[in-house]
Amino acid sequence: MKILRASFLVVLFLLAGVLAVRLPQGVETDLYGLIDSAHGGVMREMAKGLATQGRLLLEGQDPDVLKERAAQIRAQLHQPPQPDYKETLAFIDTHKAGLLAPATRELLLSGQYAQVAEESAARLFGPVPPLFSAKRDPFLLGTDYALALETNLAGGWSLDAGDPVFEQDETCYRLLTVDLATVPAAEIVSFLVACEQANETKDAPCRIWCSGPAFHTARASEQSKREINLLSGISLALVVLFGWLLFRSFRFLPQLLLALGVGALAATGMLFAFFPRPHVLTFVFGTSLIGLSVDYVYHARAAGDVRKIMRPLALSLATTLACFAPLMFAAVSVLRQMALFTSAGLLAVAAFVVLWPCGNAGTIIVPPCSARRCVGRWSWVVFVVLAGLFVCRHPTPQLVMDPTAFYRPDAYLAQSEKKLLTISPVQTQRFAFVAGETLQEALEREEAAGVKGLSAVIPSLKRQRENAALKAALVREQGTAYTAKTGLKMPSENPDGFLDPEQLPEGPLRTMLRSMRVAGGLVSPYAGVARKPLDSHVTILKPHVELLVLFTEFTASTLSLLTVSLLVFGVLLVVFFKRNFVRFGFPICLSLQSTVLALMLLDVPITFFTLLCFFVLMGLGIDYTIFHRGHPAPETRRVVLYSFLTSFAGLGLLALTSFPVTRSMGLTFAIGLFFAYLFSLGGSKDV
Amino acid sequence: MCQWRDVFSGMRVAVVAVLTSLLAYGGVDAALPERASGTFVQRKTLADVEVTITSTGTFRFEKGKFFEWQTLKPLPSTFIATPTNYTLVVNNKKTTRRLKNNVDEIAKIFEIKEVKDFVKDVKAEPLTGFPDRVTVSFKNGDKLAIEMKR
Repeated sequence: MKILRASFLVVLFLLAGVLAVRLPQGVETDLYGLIDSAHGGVMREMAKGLATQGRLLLEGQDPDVLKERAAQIRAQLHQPPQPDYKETLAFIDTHKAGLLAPATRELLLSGQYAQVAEESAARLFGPVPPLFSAKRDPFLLGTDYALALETNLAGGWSLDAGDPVFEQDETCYRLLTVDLATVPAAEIVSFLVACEQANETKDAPCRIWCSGPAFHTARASEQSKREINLLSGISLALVVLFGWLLFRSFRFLPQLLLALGVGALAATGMLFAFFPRPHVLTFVFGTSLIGLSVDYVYHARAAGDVRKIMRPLALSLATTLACFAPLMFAAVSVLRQMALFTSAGLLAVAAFVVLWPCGNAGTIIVPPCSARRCVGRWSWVVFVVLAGLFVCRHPTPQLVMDPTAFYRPDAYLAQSEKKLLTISPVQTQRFAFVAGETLQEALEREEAAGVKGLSAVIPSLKRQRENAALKAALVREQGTAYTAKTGLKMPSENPDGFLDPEQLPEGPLRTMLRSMRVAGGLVSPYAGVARKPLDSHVTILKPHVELLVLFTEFTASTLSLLTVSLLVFGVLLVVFFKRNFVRFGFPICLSLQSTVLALMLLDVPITFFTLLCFFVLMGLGIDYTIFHRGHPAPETRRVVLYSFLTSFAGLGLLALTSFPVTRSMGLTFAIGLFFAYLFSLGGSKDV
Repeated sequence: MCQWRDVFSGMRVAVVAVLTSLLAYGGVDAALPERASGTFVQRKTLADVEVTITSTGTFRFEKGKFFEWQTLKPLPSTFIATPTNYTLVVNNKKTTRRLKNNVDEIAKIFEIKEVKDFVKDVKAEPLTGFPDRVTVSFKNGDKLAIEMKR
């Protein structure tokens, strides 16, 4: 025993070491983080790049009021003041050697030098003053370049003091882009509340619509924090209350807390050992470990001598692990993570209660329980009633893969997103990701693929050199005639340098570069028609569709693994219980079927997340059944009851959260645990 | 992402200001007609190259509706300002931009900050009625001298 204990402690110590090294790398937190590298990882990179960005649309009648409000919002959200565009202009002026408007470049490429010269002269003779010195840029190609930038946005938008502005039906709009990385979530939420209230005011001079992941994250995290704090408090109080009701003392608490701590350490350590940056969803799902751990601790404590329950405990552990085992082979990383986390945690808790038995449990008071016997006898009636209701109502199965079902923003944010979608200058929901190890490589690939991304504004250095050669050819072909017509002399050589985006000063162009650059390449809104990659380095993405495909894949994979789990589970029951396997397997099947029926009758959509709950329900269900039907001492049944109540309180309370994913998981757990317990009662030997 | 457009917004506003100023100095008061049209001679002096470029053309104005400046010689181009946008046509290539222009109370255009950044000074002769001559000085030393005949 000592050797086993020492080995267990060494393993725990090693896992703690793994955690110390890997934990600082953090975890994936967004839905896109679920996407494996097999999917390219592009969405994950894109999501990371956009995670802290927010966009605000200001709406009102008076553009000056909007402008003033924009300045106030910048100060309120700790944004730097709008950089002076003249600095960017000055930078372009000295770095425009290779800058050409796309249309002008096309003309020069096709050798239409005369037409370019004529357009330049017409511009010169017109009323528009040149933007840059005609001495260094006699063909006004720099001015032409600056004017052409405008064509990259949707029509009708212009800029005012650095912000895109738009006017429609006598209503003015102003768009602000903010980086909220350093703004505390509480401040963002206060801002949202203030905007919402201001918008509700009749004749508000400025309505503000907030959009972007940063606002959603802030509101959701603040709300979740409030709910989790409240529910955790209630849950903890119930766990303590149920434990006290069972053992009539609080001496169970240290062992329970230690077991949970050991389980959490082993599970997290193993997870980080195999997955350097696991997804946060694994930990959400991992909370179900608490239910199973409480079960083992209560049984071990109630038995006093753990050897008395070694067989049912081992059977329960083996069947539960068997339920999770198929998930280890899932193609989806997050499912493998969940399986590893739960299995490692369960094994650690089981090992802990066996290696450090608590000894005397005290007296478990068992009241006369005729009601339970009655419930046990007639539990099958519940299933018949459910099946009857199902036949009468014909509910449609709702297997939902659409990611919008997993997150419903509140009315204000939903309205804001809708508003932004219709007014936004970028009228596309598709994105092009162009891979490149360096910025220049990505720019060159964008140009080669014809993607109008960053390279449409800042060409690669390679293209800038080509452009400089085209400019030189224009001077050779048309310089003399142009001088004769306008009086402007040709410079002896190109006096300007090339524009290296890495050297850009703070300003509009740098902001644009920052918003498009992600790890491994460049991302830009894609308004083209091509749906398939233009070349192997370009990926066209529609985030919503990508997520839909992703969750369809996840759901299909989970469904097949659930089937495999049921089969493995069935085989194990036959191996362990021989001819009696039906007695142990039937309640599980009934409880799972009843859960599905109840979810359908209650119109609860079945998603990837709710399907995951069924693995836990199988594990807990077999646990209740084994202890009820294989070990029918009254104290044991009482332990099962309180173990069920504790899990029901801990996991079922999630049904009260506002986040649809946790709410549906909580509902599934609550319904499933109820049926698992109910059907485990029927057929007990003493019933 | 689209803040780069700011790079040239001021210049555009300045152009509108220059053109509409022709009318503003033609008499903001009752002397400014509801409609006007005629010919112009424009001399653009580019300070850093010491070159003066002369062009001629026609103009049309309808109070509160539009102002059109059509260069005919030596090379054609058209500039049209309306209360909500302006259009520049060079060699059949059209660039339209939404911009709040005052083609009604033209003098107020100079209250816009961006114009003040580009335009140094505007002089019109005579001071009342429709002007025969307008001179706009830019801060970079460029000048636009315009003579108009109705």
